[in-house]
Amino acid sequence: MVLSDLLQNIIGGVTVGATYGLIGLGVVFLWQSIERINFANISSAMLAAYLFYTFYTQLHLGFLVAFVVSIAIIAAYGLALRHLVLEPINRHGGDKLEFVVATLMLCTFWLSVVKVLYGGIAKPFPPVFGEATSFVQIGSISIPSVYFWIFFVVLVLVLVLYVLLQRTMIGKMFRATAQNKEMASLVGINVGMTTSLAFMLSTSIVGIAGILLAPIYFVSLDLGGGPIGVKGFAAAVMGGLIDPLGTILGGLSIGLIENFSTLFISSAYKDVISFVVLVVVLVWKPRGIFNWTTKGD
Amino acid sequence: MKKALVMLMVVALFAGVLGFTPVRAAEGAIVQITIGSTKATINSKAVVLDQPPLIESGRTLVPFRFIGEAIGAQIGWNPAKKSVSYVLGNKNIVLTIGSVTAIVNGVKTTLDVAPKILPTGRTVVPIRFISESIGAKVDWNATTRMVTVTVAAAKPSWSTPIKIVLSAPFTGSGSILGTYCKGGAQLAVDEINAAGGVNGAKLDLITYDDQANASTAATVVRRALDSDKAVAIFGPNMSAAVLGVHALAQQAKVPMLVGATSPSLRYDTTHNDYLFRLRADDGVKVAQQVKYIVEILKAKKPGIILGSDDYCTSALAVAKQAFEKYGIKIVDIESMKEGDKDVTAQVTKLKNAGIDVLVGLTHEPEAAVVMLKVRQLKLAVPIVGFSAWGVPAFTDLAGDAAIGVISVQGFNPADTDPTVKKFVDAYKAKWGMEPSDPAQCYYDGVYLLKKAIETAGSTDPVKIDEALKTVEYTGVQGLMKCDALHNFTNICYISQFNGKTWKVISKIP
Repeated sequence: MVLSDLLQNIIGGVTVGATYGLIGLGVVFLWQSIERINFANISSAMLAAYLFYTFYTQLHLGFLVAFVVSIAIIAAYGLALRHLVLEPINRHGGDKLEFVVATLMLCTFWLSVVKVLYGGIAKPFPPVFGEATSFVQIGSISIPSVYFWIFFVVLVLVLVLYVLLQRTMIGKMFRATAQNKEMASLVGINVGMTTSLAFMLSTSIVGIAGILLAPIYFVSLDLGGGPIGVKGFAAAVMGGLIDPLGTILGGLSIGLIENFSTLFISSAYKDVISFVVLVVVLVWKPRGIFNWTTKGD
Repeated sequence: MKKALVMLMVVALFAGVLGFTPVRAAEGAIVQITIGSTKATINSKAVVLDQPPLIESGRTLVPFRFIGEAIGAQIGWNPAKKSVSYVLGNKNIVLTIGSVTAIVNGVKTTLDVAPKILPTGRTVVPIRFISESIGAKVDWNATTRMVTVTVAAAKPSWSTPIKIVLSAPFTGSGSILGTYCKGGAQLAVDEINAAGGVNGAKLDLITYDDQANASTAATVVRRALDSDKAVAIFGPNMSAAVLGVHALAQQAKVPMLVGATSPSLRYDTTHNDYLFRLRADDGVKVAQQVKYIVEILKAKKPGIILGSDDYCTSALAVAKQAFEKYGIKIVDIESMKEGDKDVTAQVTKLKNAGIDVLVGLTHEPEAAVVMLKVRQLKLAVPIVGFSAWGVPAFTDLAGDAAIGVISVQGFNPADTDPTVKKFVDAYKAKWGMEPSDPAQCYYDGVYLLKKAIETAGSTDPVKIDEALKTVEYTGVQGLMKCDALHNFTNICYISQFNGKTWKVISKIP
């Protein structure tokens, strides 16, 4: 094992881990504002990737238009989630559990819809982030160009979210609503608006992640469930469900654990090892290992 | 009134009986006549003509009624139009006295010599024209001045369409495969029907979507057996689905011809007399893959990248055995799971293990993930992949990273064999796309079924099943013949991807 092998694996683990973190951000955003977990969180990634694929590859709309239209649709879908799933459940006296069950079904629903409309075979993603076989060579280390895009977007998203939540009025409104809905509305916060915004931001972030991940995941059903969805939740849990930075770090550590357990132990036990680590962390630090955001109870 | 009604019925009955001329099923006949002689033979039995055959303008003319009866045709005479007609099977000939124009199956044809009424009052017609139009063979012996007409035995003819069912995935994870299954089967059915069907009966192909799912496949197969009364079932194409339903076909005693490739569907495991396989199974393919790696590439240190499901692990079992037989040790086996997108660690380990060939035993998307990483980490060894590494679902995803990959394939549309080329061209013309595995096996399968039905002389599924075990048919996949494992073929290709097509390295056998 030489140093370049280690570095190469750190880059691989960090990139895949960052994608888990991005998916986790969608979970964190919704929890932080309305204390709900959307189990169809990952569906937004798949839907955005397929929408972008349709607009860009099939309708030839151009990168920017296809991107903006896809994310706008995904944001509108977030709004629809609030009005067609969350509100009816609340109206009928349902609570967190009912929302979990409903969104769990929704995840399967979207997988089936995409399967029927596009078929189950993965499609190649257009090379908008550089050809899949274009690599940047740094010394003896080779990095696919799409990785730089992923690092860049993750960095920007985390910064924007951090500023939004910690430094703006909207962020304060979010946090106030999450802590005490009644008190928030008493002091003049538009709870309805913050709820809608939370949904739209949550689906949009995951949607952007979906388009970004498509060169690695292809335009496939793998973007709408399975390992990436579970590991996105795991990342969010490591961030205590409320800390964006902690979520990204959580994702990175999962990615690195996966890579290094393959490298030093065995690829056959990769998932076993990463999930054992997760369970241990959860038992040891149920509020998240990377949770620096204090949350008043 | 009542009496009149009864009378009418009696008359109608008699009219029916009298008007009914039984069509003699032509069981084949040899008719021999000699010019100028009233002596003739039908199937070696002597008969006497009331008018000896004569030659006019080099053509032999014979009494019109004699030749019609001798070959078993239904004869008609229209006094108003002075025309003579013959009907045999689906052939219809009309000749007019004194006219050189005849009508065969509605098409006008010109005769060398016109039918005529002799001074004796007998009507004579040209024997060669009538015989050949009906499909009989005519021989002329100049020395004995004898004409021999041979009518081949007509095959039994069925009027109702023969129903066959195709169960294939059109939605779900294997959706593209369904398109190929149907493309191949429908092409064969259309070709057969255009050429007159099977013993005169058209094939009727009913297609269902089994979603590559065992429980949906069970519904489809039950429907095919119970309500469609199919004489044979093609598919399912997914091994797991076949495992779930082949017992239904066995119970109903209806042959099931599948393109599924798991070694677990061999006869020595299933003991199902009604289950047949239309393409090489995975065990055969892996064995050929290993043989190529060892004998041609002379590799000594193979490394394997392995997927996690049954398709991959059963391939690994065969590969291990095959390498062992050559006394070669596999230096590293790295696993990945379906859906994994990063194999940096696996490829790093394979590279550090010093492998001299990478053996790919995964599904298509994982193959693409592996190849992108192989190119990124510059693992510079030959790559020899299993069947999933030899299809567009892999090369489309991997793009340039797939160039140079060698794969064992069940079918290669770039094969220049004339039969393959003819099939590929016909498929392209009909569907506007190139056929891919398993289209060829369902195409061959339908022709194989046709031959089995003809051999059995029956559409009884049990008799078809018996015939399937013995018939031989040469199709797109070469000679197809049921072996002890109920596999019809073991054909496979070793091919290399050049960025556009797969170049055939060798075709086995």
